[in-house]
Amino acid sequence: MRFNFDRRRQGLYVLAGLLGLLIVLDLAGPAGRACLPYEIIARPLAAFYRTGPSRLMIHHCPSFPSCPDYALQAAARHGLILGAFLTADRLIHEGGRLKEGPLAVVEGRLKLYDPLAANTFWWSGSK
Amino acid sequence: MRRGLARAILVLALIGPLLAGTALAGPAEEALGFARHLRAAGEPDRAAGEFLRYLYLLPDGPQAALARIELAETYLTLSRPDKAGAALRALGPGLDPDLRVRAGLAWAEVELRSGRLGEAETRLNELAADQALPRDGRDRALYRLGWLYLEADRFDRAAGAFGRVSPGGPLGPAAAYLAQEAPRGPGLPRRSPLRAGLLSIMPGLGQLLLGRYADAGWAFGLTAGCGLGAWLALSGGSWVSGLVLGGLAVAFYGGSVYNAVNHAQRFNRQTLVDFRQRLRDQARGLGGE
Repeated sequence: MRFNFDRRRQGLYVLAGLLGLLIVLDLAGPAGRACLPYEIIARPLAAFYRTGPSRLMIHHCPSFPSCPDYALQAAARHGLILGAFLTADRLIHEGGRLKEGPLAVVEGRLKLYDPLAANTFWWSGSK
Repeated sequence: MRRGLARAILVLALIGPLLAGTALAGPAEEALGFARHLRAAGEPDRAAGEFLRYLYLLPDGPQAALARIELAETYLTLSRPDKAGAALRALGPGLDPDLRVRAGLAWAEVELRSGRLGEAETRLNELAADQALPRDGRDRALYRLGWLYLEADRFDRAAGAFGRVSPGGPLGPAAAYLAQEAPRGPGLPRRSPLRAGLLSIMPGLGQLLLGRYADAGWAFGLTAGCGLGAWLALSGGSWVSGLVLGGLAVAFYGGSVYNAVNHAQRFNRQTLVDFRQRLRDQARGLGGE
């Protein structure tokens, strides 16, 4: 496979431009409330995931609130960029935390209770 | 005849209110007794209603002050510091020393649960310094003050407050133990969030420092996988897949750094929670509250 440097550079420019736009829109949004990127990106993505891929999954999310709900809450409260980091953090840790608890029974299933506040307590002031 | 009637009316006018008071005192006393029974039985919401009934029937009754304090304590059990404060505000002056201690402790709890740490501290300090109060009451204030400092991670002050509790009192052994153990707080094992975050420049390394090997694997795998996928897609001219995977790689990279810092913070908090729980259990075994 031959690597095309110019194409890669062009792609990176587009990516950087899109990220920049996202950052500006995200930062310009009102604090603690859903902003424009949330409405045009996060909500449609979550809705798409719920109607499509989520139903095909054999493995259900082991946490409560579920990962799409968590991602929406995170994006609505803290913006799309920090919300994406928080969601990635959730995806990274959710398997390893099952042994640590706390656990909750949700719709007859034992789930890890992992609300947003449990991962933002050290900077957002919520306990 | 007319004279006899007038005398009878006069007598009735004089003892009437007394009779009415006696008639009300019965149901009121019953309400108070029932309120205490409900509170002891773990039904604080219904107990609050019965305390209110007593205070409605006998607002100036002999046990009205105590009932108001008990009502406030019941509201605190129900996590309603606003209503507890209102019940305490209705207390008149001239309480006996034991009731003053109880009301003072309830006030401090109201302030604390309303997020006014400084006011709670002031009230407890005033209570502890009031020489007109019984020694046991002042000890309870000092003991609560010690716990207030412990919960705020002010370990030296906590040790100081516990150390001022009289050793011969009922709280003495528990307070002595806490005074000895509280200064160990700052020396508890900690993880540095800064170091964990800096190490996460290489995804997964921060998690390794924290001993979270599964997280380390996921952080490295997801970031590297998405990054590699984006690179290959962009190299092959697949812009859409490249951008989506690139976005995911950035999100997982940031998430990996956040994960390391977050778990260092969570580790530190859990260490303190466990430390306090151990102290609480030991203190209870020694007669502490």
